[in-house]
Amino acid sequence: MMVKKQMKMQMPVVKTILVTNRSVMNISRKLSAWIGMYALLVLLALYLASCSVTSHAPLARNASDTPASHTMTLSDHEFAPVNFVPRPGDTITIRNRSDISHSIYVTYPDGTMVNLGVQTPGTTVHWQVPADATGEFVLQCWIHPIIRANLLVNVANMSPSAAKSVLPKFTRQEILDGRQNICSSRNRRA
Amino acid sequence: MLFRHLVLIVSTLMVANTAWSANLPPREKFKRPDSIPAPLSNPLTLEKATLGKTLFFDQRLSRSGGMACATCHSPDQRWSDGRTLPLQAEGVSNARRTPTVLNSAWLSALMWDGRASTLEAQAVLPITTAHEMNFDLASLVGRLQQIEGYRPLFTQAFGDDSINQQRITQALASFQRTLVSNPAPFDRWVDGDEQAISEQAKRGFVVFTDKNKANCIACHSSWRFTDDSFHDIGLPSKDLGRGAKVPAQVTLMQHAFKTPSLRDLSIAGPYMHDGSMRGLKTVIKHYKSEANQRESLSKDIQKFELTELEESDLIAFIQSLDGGALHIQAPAMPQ
Repeated sequence: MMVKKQMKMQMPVVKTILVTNRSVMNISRKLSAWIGMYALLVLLALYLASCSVTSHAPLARNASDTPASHTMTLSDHEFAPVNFVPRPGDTITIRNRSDISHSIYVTYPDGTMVNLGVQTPGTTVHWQVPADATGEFVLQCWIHPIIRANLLVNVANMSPSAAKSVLPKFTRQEILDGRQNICSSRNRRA
Repeated sequence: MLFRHLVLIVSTLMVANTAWSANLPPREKFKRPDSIPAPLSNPLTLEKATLGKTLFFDQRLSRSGGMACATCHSPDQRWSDGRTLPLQAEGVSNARRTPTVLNSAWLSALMWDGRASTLEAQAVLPITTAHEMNFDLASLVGRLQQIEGYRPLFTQAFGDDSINQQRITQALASFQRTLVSNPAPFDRWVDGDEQAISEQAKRGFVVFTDKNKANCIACHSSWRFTDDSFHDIGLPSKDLGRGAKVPAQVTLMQHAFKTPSLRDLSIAGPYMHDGSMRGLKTVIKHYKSEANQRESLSKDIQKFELTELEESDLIAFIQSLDGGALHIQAPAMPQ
């Protein structure tokens, strides 16, 4: 009789323990789900952060990168088509393959003009893209106004924080037009 | 024995001919274009050219009413004036010879110093220059609005009879674009007619293009025989030319002037931007050794020597670029 009573008395305790265990399991499951979600968010954030930094690599010059050298060719009254994308710090060599003399000058985006001097047939002159270059640089000939080449220099040497402050916003249409690679597109436009 | 000598001579001539041909630039470089270029902002139409022709010959475009564009760009003078310096230029410092307006549709830089980049922009300059037509465009528009006879011409050209500065300059530019040199014997030679120019002129073409001879082609290139570019050719003139339009440190542009075309030259001159030379022999003499050897002198001008025969050949070649006078009927003036 006593045992029965004890059992009757223990039943709510067991029930309480069982209920408590179930609650703990539910909480644990919910916690796991939240942790999982949080981990996913962290991973996503890490991915986006890496995207904003590492995807600059093809366009931005790392400190260890050496400036590139490019060559432009002058025929009689024109530049041969340019097949490179100049970057800050690069050196551009202009070869005069024509039979006449030229005198090339570069107009910077702020209006500054830099003369590269007189270039007789068969000679070369050099121009270094400024380290802080951004925008359109126009190469023309004093002697032959018809000669002209426009070089677009895209700067990608800003720190991520600096880059972040100037990141442009993209419209849906821009993305649909092929700017899905937001990291590189932003970089090119910066 | 005689046969062997004959074979030897013929072989030598063939080799010489091959070498001669190999040194020449391809004739295609001098081929005339098939059509006249015009800017999208001012398409060439017969109606605009007709209006422009009337304006070009109308002396009422000058303040005094006594000078038209055609006064100095006369059809009878190869669309120039045949003068050393223009009318009314006495006392004007650094006055320059009147250039022809022939083939101006192809120009990318106008005036001797290139200060106008289109025919439309250039059309304003003689009208408003004090020693030329000495007028102002607002007054000119007002004067033309009073001439009833211009209304139908403007209507045909632009759709209504409104007269304004832009329409005047567009019409003048359109007319000038229609002034194209007649085909010259040289053009027929370029097209394959071997008999079109003399053997002397052919030899002169070699002298003209040879880097070790006159090398005129360094600047007088293309079918118009100009590079539309700027060079100091070493004349004693103090006129800075293009140098006054560019930064002073661009030494090469000091005393530099636009290369004139060699087509349809008046045989007696005057030549050069200051009209200082008459006769092609005088010009050749200057280039041979008399150019002022100053720092701004074109690097493409080097002293050279020519024999009497080569000089005659060169002149014969330049004369083969003459397609004859381009005559047109002067229009009736609207009243």
